[in-house]
Amino acid sequence: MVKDFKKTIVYADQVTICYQDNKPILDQISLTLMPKSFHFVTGSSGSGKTTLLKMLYLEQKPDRGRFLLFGQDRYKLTMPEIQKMRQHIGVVFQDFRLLPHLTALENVALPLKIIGAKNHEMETQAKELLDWVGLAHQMNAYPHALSGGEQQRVAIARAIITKPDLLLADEPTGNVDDVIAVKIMHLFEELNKIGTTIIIATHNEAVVSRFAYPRLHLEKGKLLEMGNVTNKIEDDYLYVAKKTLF
Amino acid sequence: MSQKKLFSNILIQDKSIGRFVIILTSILSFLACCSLLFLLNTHRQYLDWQKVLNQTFFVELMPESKKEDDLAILNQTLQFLQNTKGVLAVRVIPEEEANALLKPWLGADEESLKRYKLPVLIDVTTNLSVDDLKKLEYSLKQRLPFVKVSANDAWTKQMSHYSGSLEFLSLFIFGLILLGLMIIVLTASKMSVVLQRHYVDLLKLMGAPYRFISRQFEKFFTFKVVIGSSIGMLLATSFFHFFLILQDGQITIMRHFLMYEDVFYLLAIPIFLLLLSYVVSRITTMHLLKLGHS
Ligand SMILES: Nc1ncnc2c1ncn2[C@@H]1O[C@H](COP(=O)(O)OP(=O)(O)OP(=O)(O)O)[C@@H](O)[C@H]1O
Ligand SMILES: [Mg+2]
Repeated sequence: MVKDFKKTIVYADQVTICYQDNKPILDQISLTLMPKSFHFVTGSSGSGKTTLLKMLYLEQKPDRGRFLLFGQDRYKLTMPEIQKMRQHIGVVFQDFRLLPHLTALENVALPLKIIGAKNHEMETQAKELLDWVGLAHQMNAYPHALSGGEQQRVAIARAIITKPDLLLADEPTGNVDDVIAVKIMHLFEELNKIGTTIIIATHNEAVVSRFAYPRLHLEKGKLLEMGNVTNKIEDDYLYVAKKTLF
Repeated sequence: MSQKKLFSNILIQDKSIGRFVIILTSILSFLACCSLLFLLNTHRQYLDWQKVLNQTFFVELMPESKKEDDLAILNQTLQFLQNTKGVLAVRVIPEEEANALLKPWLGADEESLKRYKLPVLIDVTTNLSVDDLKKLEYSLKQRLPFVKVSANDAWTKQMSHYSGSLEFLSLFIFGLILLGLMIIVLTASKMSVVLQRHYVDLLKLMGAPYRFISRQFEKFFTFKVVIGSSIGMLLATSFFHFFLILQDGQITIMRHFLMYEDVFYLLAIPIFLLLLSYVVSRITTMHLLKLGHS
């Protein structure tokens, strides 16, 4: 057990979450994640992956147990503290949740708008990111005019534009083909390299096996940590990936 | 690719709520302007009447026992009045005219009229202010104890009560209208927040401060209220102008409506409504946002 909670990004001890009926979705799970780590969350559909992420981005309060985020007790957070904390968390929602009346560019720039960035800053950064995810030509399109995979990439760009300390991605590769999925994973790795802690919920076994990061497996409400393989990616491999993929 | 300005609206507000707010505020602002104009008119009418009532009055000479004294007193009084600054005209009312004036007070019978010793009435016109008139009355009383100034105090008092209650009534209606506006903005803000709940929740999850979110609603409602109340104000202004003031090309009795300075009062109404709706929508949305978080 980690003694120094202050240094953890996520510290959960015996956390239980139930919805209306008292059958727990997460049943006394314990979890410690250190800064700059990279994890997959796996499990069958309905196993509680999204629920776990909801807890992490502070939407769902645990019913029982101890939960610290960025070393701070969840139950003691005031609303302004929660808001500040959320500004340091990037979330890719499973259903994207783009604002339908904002263009792709505006959707991506929104987190910067919220933290009060200047207009030209927002514009250049959002454009750059959209370019990275291969959507430069779609930046003035509205979400309804984008394909599922394109919407997903807009959602990803929005989640990472502030270079968050913690990135929570729920099925970020669910709607894209394998080539783009790999691109996206490399993007996350880049982000991880500059210090972002990354948690990806997915049941894409191909991705999980290709990128050998530790895996948190949810089953029947229990959390099993598996395959703690620290995959040292060669620096020049990354360099090549960056040059060729984006 | 055409370059549009980023973030003209972060939340897209419901158009029908916007129209609803514009229509209701224009009606309310119309009524508010009417009641304000009515209040101003009543007050000016009152001041006018007071001035008129003060500037024409009777001086009564109570009959003495000896006829010669009466005449002397009359002359003294006339002299005093004519030498007073601000007195414009002095006229002794002939006996018949005076009788006719007094008849309703004393009974219709000619015979009984003769039995009374009637006072001599002097009709005085001045341009004195209310205070100066009081001074005149006082100095007249000092010199000539049999002289009574029958200033129109009773009338003035009545007028003051009358116009006072009208002014109170229009102020009260004005207050009710403001209350109505507050309820409208409150309801509309609430509806909007509920309709946009999905996006509001998303903004919250992205760490947007409540002030940031509620600003999106305030902007919308203040804008709609400004439009609505300006429409109402213009309608009220033209209503008074065309139907009440210039009826048949003539200025009607409502001649105190729409004086030059009323422009400022009228302009103050949309501005005031703007501030009010800003405050109400801000309080409402902030409250709802706080309620929404568990
Ligand atoms: N708001 C809710 N109210 C009630 N039950 C819920 C709610 N959200 C999720 N659940 C239930 O909790 C369980 C876990 O849901 P969750 O969304 O966490 O699954 P998941 O692992 O993300 O599934 P998927 O892979 O299909 O996205 C499901 O059985 C679901 O029915
Ligand atoms: Mg899910």
